[in-house]
Amino acid sequence: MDHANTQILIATFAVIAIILYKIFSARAGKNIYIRRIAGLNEIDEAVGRATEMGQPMLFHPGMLDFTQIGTLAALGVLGHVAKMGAKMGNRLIFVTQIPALVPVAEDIIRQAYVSEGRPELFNSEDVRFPAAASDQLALASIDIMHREKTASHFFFGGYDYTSLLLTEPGQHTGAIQIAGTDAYFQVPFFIASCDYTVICEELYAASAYLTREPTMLGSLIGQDYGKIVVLIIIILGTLAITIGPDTLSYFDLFIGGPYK
Amino acid sequence: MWKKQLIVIVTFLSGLYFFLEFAVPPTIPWKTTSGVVVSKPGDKQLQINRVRKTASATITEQTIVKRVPSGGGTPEPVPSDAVKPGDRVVITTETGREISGIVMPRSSPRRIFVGTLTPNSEQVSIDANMLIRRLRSGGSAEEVKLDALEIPQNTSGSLDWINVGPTTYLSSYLTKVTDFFIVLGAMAWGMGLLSLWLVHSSNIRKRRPEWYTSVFFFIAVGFGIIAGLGFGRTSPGVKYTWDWWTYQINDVVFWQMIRPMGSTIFSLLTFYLASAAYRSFKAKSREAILMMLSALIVMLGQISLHMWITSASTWLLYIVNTAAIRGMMFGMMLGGIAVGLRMWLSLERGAFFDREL
Repeated sequence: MDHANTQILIATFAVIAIILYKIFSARAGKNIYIRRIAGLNEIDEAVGRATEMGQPMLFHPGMLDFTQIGTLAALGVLGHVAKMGAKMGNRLIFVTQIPALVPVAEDIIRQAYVSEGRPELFNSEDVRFPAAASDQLALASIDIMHREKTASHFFFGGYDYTSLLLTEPGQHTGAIQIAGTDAYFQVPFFIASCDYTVICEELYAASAYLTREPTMLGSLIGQDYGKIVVLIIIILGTLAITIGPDTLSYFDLFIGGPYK
Repeated sequence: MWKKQLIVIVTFLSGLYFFLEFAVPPTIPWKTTSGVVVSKPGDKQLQINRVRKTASATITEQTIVKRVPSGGGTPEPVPSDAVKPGDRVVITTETGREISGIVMPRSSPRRIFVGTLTPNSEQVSIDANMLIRRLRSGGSAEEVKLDALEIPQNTSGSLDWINVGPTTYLSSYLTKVTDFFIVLGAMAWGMGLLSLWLVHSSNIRKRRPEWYTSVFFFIAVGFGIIAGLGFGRTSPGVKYTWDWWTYQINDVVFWQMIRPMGSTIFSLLTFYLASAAYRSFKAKSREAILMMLSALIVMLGQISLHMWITSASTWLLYIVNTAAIRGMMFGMMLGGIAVGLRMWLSLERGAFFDREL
């Protein structure tokens, strides 16, 4: 595996330091403001709507492996949806093509129902692994949408070409659909076929946004400071290329680092 | 409670390993020798020559980079990003200045530093704990064995630039650690199959609507297992063995059933695309109007209606779109670090831990 060169190492430590500083200052009770993310705000409404209609909800955690950040972020959202479902007394159906997610999701959903005092509503059969291929899973999901008459659909995680196969049937059945993905090529399809879409890094921010834990919110603010640093580097790079290729070549060495 | 504490400890230790493996150099820096390989005096010895910087050249579109083949000869033109440290090059800059020498590790795709061999050379003994890393084009290094190194007949051509030193051992265990994920993944398949078993057996037991499809599931699993046994049995000679029929089932299941069914599912996408596009192109808001107009320009740009439409389409696709995607990528990378850090230090809440530990 590739190793960090000096520049990357400094940048990594700097970003980590900023994030940790913000986490600890948030834990110390500092006020934190984060902007509204419409897609995440509407999760509670979607759960409520399904409950009013007396129909279950469907959660899909993407196509990627358990080790991917997008999937981990999706599980954070799953915890919130399951908790809201348990609070309102509704059923949540979870489908995945990743077998490793079955016990993890089962544990998360069970924990949510137990913590809300509704363990009887949890059914391990609602955590399903219908197929290991994404197109077959899409077909199985369509079947569940029609058979179980699911009223709210949540698609969070990394997606491939089957994103539209998963979401378009939901539009036809009239379900409220919220999606969030870090696969930016799939974002337009979600925007076209879902009611609300959480775009790329907003997905990573989802669990922090939903739990409102100071520790998690602090990390979001730290991440935004990292963005300011990146922005400054972009501006410097733009100036360097405007001045000339010679300046750019030295800037490139300073930022990108040499061969090692 | 002990289960959560165990998860915290295991997560922290494994995260620490991967972080250290990334951050710590693969060889001990102060004991590492860096330079070009000039000869192999013994079976376990290398003669490494140091290189002194003499000049540098800015790489532009007009720059011509020629590489001297290994062992010497006529320099051949190569793309500037294809040269690697140790290559002997002749660079003609955009002003016509000619620079020649050995490419140094300090180089980048936009500026190449060159140098000459110095009289300082070092003989390095290659023990079992020594790691040889050969520098490649593009900035990274690959681990190589002593035999894989190119030992030149003379030093007038391109050479191998290596960093050699005692290993820090962290990278040596990387394969074993990542193999652990494969083992976990294999166990997970069993859990997935168990989940399917529970759902379908319960369907049959409780005689739920369309329970007979669950019976078909068990039949399909049986066929799938047999078909899996027949995988790859197409080489000559295998045909007449007793288990030839497993290949025939493999052929029927994978090639004559699953593949056409997969294509059928994929073809559904066309209709969904049409209905999604119809909805998206309704000018409901300012953003929708912008999206509709840009999509219209991009579509018209594909049919060469007029030069300016093609230019506008290309500009939208390659300038505006790239800028937007890069913006997203920067955000995602930083978001990835933040999520990774929260996971590593078990600061994540909600789904994983409902309270601070």
